[in-house]
This record gives sequence, structure tokens and C-alpha cells, in this order.
Amino acid sequence: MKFCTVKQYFDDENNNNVTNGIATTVIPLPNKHLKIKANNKEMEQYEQELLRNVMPQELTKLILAANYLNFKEALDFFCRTVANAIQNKSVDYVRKFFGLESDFEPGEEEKLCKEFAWSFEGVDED
Amino acid sequence: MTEFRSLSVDLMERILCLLPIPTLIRASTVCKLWYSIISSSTFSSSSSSLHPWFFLYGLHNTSSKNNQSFAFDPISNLWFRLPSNTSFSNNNTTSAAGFLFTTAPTFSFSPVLSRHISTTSPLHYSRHNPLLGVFYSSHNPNHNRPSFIVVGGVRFIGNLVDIEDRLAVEMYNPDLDSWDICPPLPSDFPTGFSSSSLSSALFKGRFYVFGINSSFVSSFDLESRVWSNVQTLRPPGVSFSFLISCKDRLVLAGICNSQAGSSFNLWRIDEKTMEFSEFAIMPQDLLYSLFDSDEDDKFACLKCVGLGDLIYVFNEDYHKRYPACVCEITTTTQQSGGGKCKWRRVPQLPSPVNKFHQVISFCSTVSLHSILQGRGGDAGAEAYV
Repeated sequence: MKFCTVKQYFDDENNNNVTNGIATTVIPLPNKHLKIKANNKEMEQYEQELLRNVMPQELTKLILAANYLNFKEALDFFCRTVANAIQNKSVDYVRKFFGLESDFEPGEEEKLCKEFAWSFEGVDED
Repeated sequence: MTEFRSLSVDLMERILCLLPIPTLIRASTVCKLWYSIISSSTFSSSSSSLHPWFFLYGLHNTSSKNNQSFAFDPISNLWFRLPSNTSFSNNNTTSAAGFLFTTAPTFSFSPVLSRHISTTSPLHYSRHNPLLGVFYSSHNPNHNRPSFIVVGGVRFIGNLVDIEDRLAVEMYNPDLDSWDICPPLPSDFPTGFSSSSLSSALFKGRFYVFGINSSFVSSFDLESRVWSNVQTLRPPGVSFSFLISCKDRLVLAGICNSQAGSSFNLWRIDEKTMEFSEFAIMPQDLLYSLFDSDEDDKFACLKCVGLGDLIYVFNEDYHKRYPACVCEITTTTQQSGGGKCKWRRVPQLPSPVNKFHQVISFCSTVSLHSILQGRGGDAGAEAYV
């Protein structure tokens, strides 16, 4: 259940997985969820409010926290937020966002981009 | 921002599977890890099988460099212009269930948007423009190999269509790479270019053939290989309609005339009794937005295709625009006819759009795995376009 891991967290004093700041964001979620579970629109508004104050970088910490706490709804929500943030962006933007580098052999990446050139249409300007 | 690297592959995959297919294709070029996650056969973009794409292939009769192909992804709500090296012609290209087929002079198929083509042994009666169905037989130990059913179509004698020939139905056995002959379509249905006057739907082990104008319906049992009796399926007021196999229901979609005027309706069809129950009507303003003229017979140029949770309706005569709308069947209930529908306009085709003599349209699921792993192996001769 949602609350087992939370109890475990409070019992475990040497917990590095969830910092305090993140805890204050994630922990209240189960209660709020139960209260307004019936009304999806309200939940969406609450979620939007929550994220207005959160930087994209913080999202990783939120995802890791929700994952550790085994809190599926929050995890789904945070992952969806990241997905929305990169959906129409260029490959370079996505690389920067995730801190990844291209490790393809020279020419391999060009071949892929050429083959799937049609899917690169309509991408946002950086 | 570098902390994202600390996400496990599991969590990365969780984020990635929420993305629409075109984004995923681009994302596969980010790095080798992402390419291997995204192109793996176990990875799938969520809900992609219920939200099939809509394809529009425009043909110019004399100048093939004016041919164009477009694909619409309902999840990103965007049109994509497909590469012009896709070769096709009206006479021998058909589509069903995620594949594109060429049926004459040889029979070959390729997953939509992939460049990998497989050829089977030839049909007993090679033909143009048949109705086609794709299914996976439970007898087939290798579940990945599709079986096909080919119904109707025409043969040419020189340049003329042979109208006397009532062509046998043929079913493909992927294990033996051979075609079995089966009883032909009942004679109530006219011979001729099947896809312009007939619509077909594969549903619960039966292949349904339906006359768009005649409203005749008959179904072929894929196991027993027998055609059912021919019936008429025509709710009151219907002038023409299409039979569509959706996720959990057989749907009849078409123009219905009444005292109040014409409307485009959807009926749920009970596959055992052929009883119909109306469950949706396209909003009038949406229907009229598909036309630019006020002629009486303007509705006749509407075409309808569908699969999964989506039904697309478009105007195939409205040159250079081909306006379309899509209906999403959102809920399924146990009550007869239940299901809420959301209608919306499909965005404009990206310019430039050439003038076409003919338009081939179809609806198909898109397999990310087939697109990225277009180099897969399969039985039969293979080639790349």
C-alpha cells in the first residue's frame, strides 16, 4: 500500500533517497489524491499548481522519490510531465535535458536521421 | 540537469513509452542506449494500437513525380509528409491491419512506414484491387507470421478488365508459404474493383464484406471457410455506409437521410444477429465543414475508414485539401450501443499539396518496432525500397 514505504522512510533515519524538500512535495500527495480522487479536473489543477514552482531539474528527484516510495500515481504524473516537456523538441534539446551525449559511430547517426527524415518535421525551434 | 542520467533504464523507459511515435523515432537518434530501448520488440508506445494513423496517398495519372503521401498521427495530432520513394499505384496497392500490399503481378507486403518488403509465393489468381484481411492463426506455432485472406479483385485481359471472372478467395498459410483456394464471394456482390464499392472488416474470426451502396453483407468464417448467407444491413434512411472493425465492436458508419436533413451516423452492429443500434451522430457543423459546395449529392464523396478506437471520415473529392475529421470512441460499456464519442477536425494537410487524379486512403496501426528494425528477417524473398 502507499503508506508502507512512507512509514519505512520515517523509521529509517539514514535515508538519502528522499531529501526533505522533495518529501514535503510528494508526501502530501496521497492524502490530496484520496480527497479529490473522484474529480479528475481538480487533481489536474492541483498538479499544475504544484509544478509551477518546480524546475525541470527537480523532476528527476521527484521521479526518484515517487519511485522509491512506490507511489504509482505521482510517478506516472511526473513521468508524464517530463514526456510533455520533450515531446516536440529537437534531438539536441533532449540530449541537453537528459545530460546525454551521442555515442553513435560517425555516419551512423546521419544514416538514421536521413532514413527517418519525415519524422523530423514539425519540431519546435529551440 | 545532469541528474537525469541517474535515472535507471526502467524509469527512462517509463517516460519514453508515454511519447508519440514520431517523437520516439527522433528520440532513438539521441544515443545508442535510447535506440536499443526504443527499437526493442518489448517496448511499445502506450495506446498506439488503439489510435491508428490515417494515410492519404495522392496519385497523378500522368506525372508520377507529382505523387505524394501523407500520414496523420492522432496522438501528436500532426501530419507527416512521407518520402517520395514510396512507389505505389491505384491498381495494385491495398492496405490492411498495419501492412501495405502489392497484389499483382506478384504478392508482397511490408509493414506500414517500414522499407522492409516480403514476397510470398504467387497467388493462384493474381488480381488487382482485392479486399484483404490480415490475421494471426492460433494453429500457427510461430505467432509472428501473418496469414492473409484475399477476396475478389479483378484480372486484366490485355488492358480490359475481365468482368466474367468470379475469383476464388485465397488464404495464405505462412508456414507452407502457400495459398489455399476457398469459395468465392457470393454472387449477390458484383465483380469489379472491390474497394470502391465494397468495405470489409475482420472481426472475431470472420471476414465481413459489405456493399457500400447495396448494403449487402456476408461474412466468411476463417476456420470453417464458409460464407454466411447474404443479408441486407441498412438502418432506415441510410443512403450509403461502411463497415468498420473497431476494438470491441463492429460499426456501421454512413450518411442517413431524414426529414431534418442528412447526418453522418454510427451504429453498433451485433455480429451474430446483424442488429444495429445507433450510438453517435457527427455534429452537423463538423459535417458541413468537410464541403465547400452546396450540391445535393456532395455527401457521396465521403469516405470512411477506421480501426481500434478511431473512425476517420474525409472528403476524397475536395482537391488539395481533403478535409477530414476523426471520431474517438472513448468508453465502452456493457449496455448495447454504449460508448461516448469525441469528434474533432483533423488539421490541414501540410502544403504544398499537389492536384491528384486519385486518392488512396486507409487507416493503419503503426509499429515502431517494424519501422526501426526494418532490417528484420522473414520468410520469402526480401527487398528494400
